[in-house]
Amino acid sequence: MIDPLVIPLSSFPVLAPLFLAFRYLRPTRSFISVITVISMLGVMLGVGVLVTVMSVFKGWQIEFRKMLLGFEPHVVVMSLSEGNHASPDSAASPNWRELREKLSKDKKFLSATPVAEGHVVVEKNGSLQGIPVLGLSPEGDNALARKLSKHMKEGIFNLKDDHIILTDHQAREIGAKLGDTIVVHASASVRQFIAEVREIPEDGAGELRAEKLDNVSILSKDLKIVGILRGDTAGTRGYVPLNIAQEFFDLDGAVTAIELEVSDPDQAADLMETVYKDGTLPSNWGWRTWDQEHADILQSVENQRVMMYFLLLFIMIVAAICVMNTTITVTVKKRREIGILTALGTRAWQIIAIFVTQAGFVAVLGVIGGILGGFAVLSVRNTFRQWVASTFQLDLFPQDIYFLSEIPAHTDWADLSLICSTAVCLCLLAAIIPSFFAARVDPAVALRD
Amino acid sequence: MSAVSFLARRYLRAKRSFVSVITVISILGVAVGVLMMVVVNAVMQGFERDFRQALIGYQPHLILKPSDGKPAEPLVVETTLAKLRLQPGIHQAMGYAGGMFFLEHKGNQSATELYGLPQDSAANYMVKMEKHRLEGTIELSDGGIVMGDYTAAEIGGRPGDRLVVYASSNVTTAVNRFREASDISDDKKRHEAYNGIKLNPIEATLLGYTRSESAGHYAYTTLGTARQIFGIGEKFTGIMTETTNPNDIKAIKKRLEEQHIIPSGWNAVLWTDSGDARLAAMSNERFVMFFIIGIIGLVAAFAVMNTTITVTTQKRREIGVLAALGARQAQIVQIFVSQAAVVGVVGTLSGLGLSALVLHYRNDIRGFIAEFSGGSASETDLFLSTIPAQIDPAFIAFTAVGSILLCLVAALPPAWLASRVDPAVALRD
Repeated sequence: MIDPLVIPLSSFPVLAPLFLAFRYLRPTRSFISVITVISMLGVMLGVGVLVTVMSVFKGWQIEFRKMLLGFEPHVVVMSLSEGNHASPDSAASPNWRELREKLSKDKKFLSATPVAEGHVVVEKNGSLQGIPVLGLSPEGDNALARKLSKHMKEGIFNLKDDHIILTDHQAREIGAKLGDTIVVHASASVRQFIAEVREIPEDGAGELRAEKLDNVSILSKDLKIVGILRGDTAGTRGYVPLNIAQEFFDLDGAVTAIELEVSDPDQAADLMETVYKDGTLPSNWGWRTWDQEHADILQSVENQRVMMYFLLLFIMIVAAICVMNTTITVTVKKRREIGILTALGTRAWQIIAIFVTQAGFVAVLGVIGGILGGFAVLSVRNTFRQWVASTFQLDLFPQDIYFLSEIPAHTDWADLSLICSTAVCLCLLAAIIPSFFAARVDPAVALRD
Repeated sequence: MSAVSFLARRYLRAKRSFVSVITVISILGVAVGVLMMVVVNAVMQGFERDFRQALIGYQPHLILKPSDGKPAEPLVVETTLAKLRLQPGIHQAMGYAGGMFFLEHKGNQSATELYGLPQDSAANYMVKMEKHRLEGTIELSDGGIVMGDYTAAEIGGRPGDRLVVYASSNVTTAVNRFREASDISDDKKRHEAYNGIKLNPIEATLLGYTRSESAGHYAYTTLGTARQIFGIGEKFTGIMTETTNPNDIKAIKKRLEEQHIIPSGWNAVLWTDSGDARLAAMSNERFVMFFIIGIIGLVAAFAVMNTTITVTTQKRREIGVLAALGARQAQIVQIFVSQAAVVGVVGTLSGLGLSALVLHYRNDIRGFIAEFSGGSASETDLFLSTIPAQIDPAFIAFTAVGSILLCLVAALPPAWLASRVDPAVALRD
């Protein structure tokens, strides 16, 4: 092997700093290697924590989106005229049946299903209260029904005749169970009934009052609970057959919206934009995608993730401080050598490169160690959680808040490369400052000392 | 001045070369660790406290009522009240009448939960609503109703307006009776059945309203008016209890159960019931964050350790001289550990100072960040209008002590290794 110091350094402008950087790292070279290893550990911890925490957050975000997609229609389109009701007779809008026909033939959509959304009134703790329901057609080509039937806790998802499907939470609140028949009132008709009863004086003559009540009616039905949905994963709505919903919401054969399922729900908004532009969707129809519907909560999950990244960045900053300390020590120790190199004609950037390469080496090893450590922690996360739960009686991830029984994790390549590049950049930056000062040394002064 | 502290100081002195630079940098690391720990914990605790206070602010602390929902006998209520009032930690206890009811004004309907409070205790209870009052009065009088602004807006009512109110159970009964009656084909019998359909409405006045957002959707009236609305004569719906320290509510409930003060067949509803899961999750998150942020402190300790290693190596000859002069090993260890202690103390103090500054200007900082990142209005809407913060002195003390201890522990191994040096070897090199 040729000793590079024999050959003028200027002929190896790039290799020489590399050679020296590794030479200065050699384990036999005193205490410096110890502090180098310690600063490496700092970087490792920083990267490891970032990888672990960001993966868990990403996993949670993905599971959360999956959960929403599991019950929420991907897109609903509704007529903008006359409130929210698609009105078949309004001149500008085609009949909803025609539009539905057109949309379901369109290859961009997996299915197009008419729905009617609203509230029905049931008796809950002796008092009449509204619960949200969605009217769904019982036809076979119903992607939403297929999706929902995966969340059945009991019974089957079979919407026909006088059937109703409730979530377990709704069922518990009204004290009903699978197979029970419950009385469901149309909420508008209950209001109407109250208003009409109120108009008839209560102390009026009995016969007159009774005759007036003959003209009053209340729209209600006995519906049989044929299925109970798991509320944790199936949202808060109940489901009734479309024809009952139409009757209850006084839609007169119309629907409130057409529900579309698409193959890539993440791109739903873009897809709808093109569909709107090319005229498939008439201009007086509007649309709302599942992520617009839940924009608030999705945004807040994303905000939390960004905030965590920002907080954990401080671990990296402190790790970089550690690297900076090491570089300062190394440059001071090597003052004489720097003087000799300068005297031999080495340029300042080459000297800076020696120490920055060294810091880069620390950073890369730290990053690799951190990624490995992070993955190791992620692989035992649920075992660890069980251990904490049994040892400290502390559930770190309560299911009723996070809706998941296990800690999720998903390592995103974009996240991983962001973490790694941040770590390397911070370490290099931390090394540049002291090595810049070291490179400015006057060889005469350095050699005289 | 002892030799140990003299040397520790001397080695730290500013003019003494690069060692002072790396010392200052390690101080910075410790300060950042303490800063993050204190700020994050204060903000998280602040959110938790705000959430608690929002609940305490309008939820009755403790409600006792028969589990079957039937009205409670006055005798049972009176004896229970007498026992309750003797208990420590009970601020106020009263029998109340309440439930869901309908309000009607100019053809608009709304429904909400009503609490009817006895006149002599009402003023004392309604004090906690005063800060949520928006318009009108919250002083309860017979035939008057105080409600949330949400309900008031739904019926389009303003203070002084006359309302018609009736119990929700009356509506349920009326609907059910009507359904049964309308199936009777015989006119006479049907009409007879129809005559039983009554909502028993009574007239009431809207006294004033509170901010629903912070005071909940409850409506309030006097016990007498509520009894009239719900038609329960001289009976009660249950007992409402306010405590002096609402955070102890679980302990109080347990004590009441143990002493059999809660009548059999009754159940207890606590103010925490509506937010228990959320509160538990919040303190869990705080606990996990504590560990994660603690890692910053650990990495800062690495920097301190590095500094101590460098210093001990630099001072190898001096250590040899000291050892040759008869300095004990413990004294040499002490020199370097006390140096690390200075780093720990200065770092911790500056971290505390910085966090006080950050917490004080937290809202300005947030505004600046929002502006800097071109923060959209929707993003600021998601957070509270101001960031809460609660400083817990015990936690601050814990953080400070922990951070200093970590620095000492980090300095100990290199200091101990350095003190074991053989003076002959050290001086010869």
